[in-house]
Amino acid sequence: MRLSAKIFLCTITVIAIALSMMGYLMIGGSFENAIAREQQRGLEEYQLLKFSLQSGMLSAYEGGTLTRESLLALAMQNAEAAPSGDMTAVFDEEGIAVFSTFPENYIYRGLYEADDTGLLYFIEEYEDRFLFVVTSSFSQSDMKVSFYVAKDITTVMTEKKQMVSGFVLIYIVVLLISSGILFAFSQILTNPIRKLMRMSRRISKGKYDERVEIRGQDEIGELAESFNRMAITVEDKMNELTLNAQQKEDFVGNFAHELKTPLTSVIGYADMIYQKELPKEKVHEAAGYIVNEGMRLEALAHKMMELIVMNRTDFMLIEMRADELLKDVEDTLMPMMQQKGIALSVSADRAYIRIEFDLFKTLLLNIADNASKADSTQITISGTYSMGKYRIRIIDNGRGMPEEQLNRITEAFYMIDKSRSRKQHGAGLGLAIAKKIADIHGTELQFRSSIGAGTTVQVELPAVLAEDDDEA
Amino acid sequence: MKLSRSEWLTITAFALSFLIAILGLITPLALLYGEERALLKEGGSLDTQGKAPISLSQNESLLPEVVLPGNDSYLDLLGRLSVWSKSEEKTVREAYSYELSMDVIAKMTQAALESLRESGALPAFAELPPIFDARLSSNYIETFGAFEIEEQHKYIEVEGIKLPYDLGRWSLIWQSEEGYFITVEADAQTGRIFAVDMFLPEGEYDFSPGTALVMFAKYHGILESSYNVSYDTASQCLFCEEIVLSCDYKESADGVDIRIRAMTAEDYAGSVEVEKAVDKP
Repeated sequence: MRLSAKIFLCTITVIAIALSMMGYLMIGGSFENAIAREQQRGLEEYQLLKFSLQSGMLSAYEGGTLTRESLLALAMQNAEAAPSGDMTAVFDEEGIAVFSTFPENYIYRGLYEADDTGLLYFIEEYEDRFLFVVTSSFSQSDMKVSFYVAKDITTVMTEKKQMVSGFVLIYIVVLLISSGILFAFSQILTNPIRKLMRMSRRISKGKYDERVEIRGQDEIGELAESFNRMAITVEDKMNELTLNAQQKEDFVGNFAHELKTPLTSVIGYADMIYQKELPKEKVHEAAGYIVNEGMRLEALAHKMMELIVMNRTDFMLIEMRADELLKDVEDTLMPMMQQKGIALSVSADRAYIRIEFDLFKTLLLNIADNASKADSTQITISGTYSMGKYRIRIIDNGRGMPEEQLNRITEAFYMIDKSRSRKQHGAGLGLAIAKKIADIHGTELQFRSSIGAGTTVQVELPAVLAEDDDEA
Repeated sequence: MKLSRSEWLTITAFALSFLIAILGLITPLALLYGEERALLKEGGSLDTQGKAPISLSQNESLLPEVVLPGNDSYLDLLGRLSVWSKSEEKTVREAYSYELSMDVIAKMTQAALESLRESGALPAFAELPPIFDARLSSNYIETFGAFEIEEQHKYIEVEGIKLPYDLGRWSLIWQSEEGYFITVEADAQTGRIFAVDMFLPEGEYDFSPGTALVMFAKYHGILESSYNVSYDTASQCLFCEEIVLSCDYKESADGVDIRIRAMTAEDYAGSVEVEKAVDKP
């Protein structure tokens, strides 16, 4: 059952019970008071009429004229003196009516029940009229009589009927109006809860960015706030989960990407050993490269995991010679470049830079790999020291890139020429990883390119010039 | 169309609510109707005075005892006047069994008037005309001093004298075609007269207010008591401690108007204040 229906029904029930009780107490109390008032008035009127009759009888007795006839005259005088609407009757000792203003068919209830030591009164219904009847028997001046008076109290009953009609009308009208108002209020009051319900359904369907707009300082407002906080937490958690999943996916992609260049070198050197009869030194040298690249791959796997999955940024930077780094890069790239028929030239000033070797080499290899895929015939890698900075430039003479796209090329999976990139087994991850590595080293990748004129990528690092006698 | 459990519940609750609303209307009407029917069935009764006229059977003399047995006449009178003056509302009622019946009070007051006339407290007038009207008034007191009167406390103690809280007074009127008009207020329990109003048509009447008040005081038995009594000719009042007996006597071409009454000093002071206020232009 809906909450609004519950509120509506409970309140209507309470209103109905309250109205009912109020009506009963008010009408009942008013009726009781009116009856008590009429009874009091009736008893007083009866007493006055009785005193009047008694004193008349006493007077007649003192004058020696108290007979049935004089009693009749007194009863008539008494009836005339009675308030309008009152009916009186006087009976003799035998119970025979001496005088009566009651209708002939009227039955004198309780006439013989009241003896001369008591007075009897009651209310009775007679021909659509309500009468307050008082009767008593008394002895006065040696004569016993019964006196019977009925006071018309129909107006009290009529007033009660009018009040009851009024109550019925008020009850129905109040209940109808209350129903309308309550229905509206219950809808207004439960509207925020309905909003919350709708929102929770949407969130359950995956729309984690949905929020409830409920203002107010009441409990529902607080609930909405809590709900929104919960939704934010859920969204964050979901984003985190999505990010984690994405990162894992990225890692797989990146790692596969990163394997390519070293593996090409490894395969190149291995092929060289396998295909050709090489002097022992050359074999040793090629095997050394294979071992080095294998170890680098192993180290790279861990570092890539830390970099991409765990978002680690606090890699230990070690001071090393930039020219040696570039030489190593050249050695790694050489087999691939030879395979692709690209002329690779490397020149480097002697200087110390602080880097994470495996990562920074990956950065350079990625840039060089990208350059090799741009239909280049010549790739130049230069490292120059100037004013405490070591500037590494990778220059190709490939097809270049549109200038407006340069600011997007470091986005993951961004490929300028998608079909070509896929043909070359590109995933659009190389420069994204390179940017991340540059960020770890506190520097950035600077691109300069134009269509048909090739691309230059530059990265700068703080450096210390190496002395001539510094050994590598 | 199949309804869900929630929808069934809602429909049932609405039906129940409608039923409660109907019951809310019917129940008070039924109760009120029941009360009305019960009123028609039920009745009530009040005790009235017994058949035997108690004072006549107990006392052969029609003149009442000066005081009730064991009571000081001054204190008894003061107590009754005090209780009567405290009355907030006067109602007519039946005489209780310990009070005098109409027959008896009529006879007692007639005898007392005769006696007072003989003693000079009242002027000599022809025989009393037949009684015209008699009724018993009762005072209704809710509070007396700091005390609230409760139904179960039927008595009020004033100056050590126990008196009924709904003290009754008979008012009797004699009237004749010749123009005699006499009203007497007498205690319903003792039959003592507290006030006499007389209008006597033109004629010669031998009447002295001073003598009348002295004889009235004697009638009440306060002259014999040890209380100080003084008479003020200017105000035509006889003062006896807390009790004041006053007499208004006016002669006119139509006849003589005499008003003698006993009251508490407090009531007298109040009536003087009222008179002064009325006399001021």
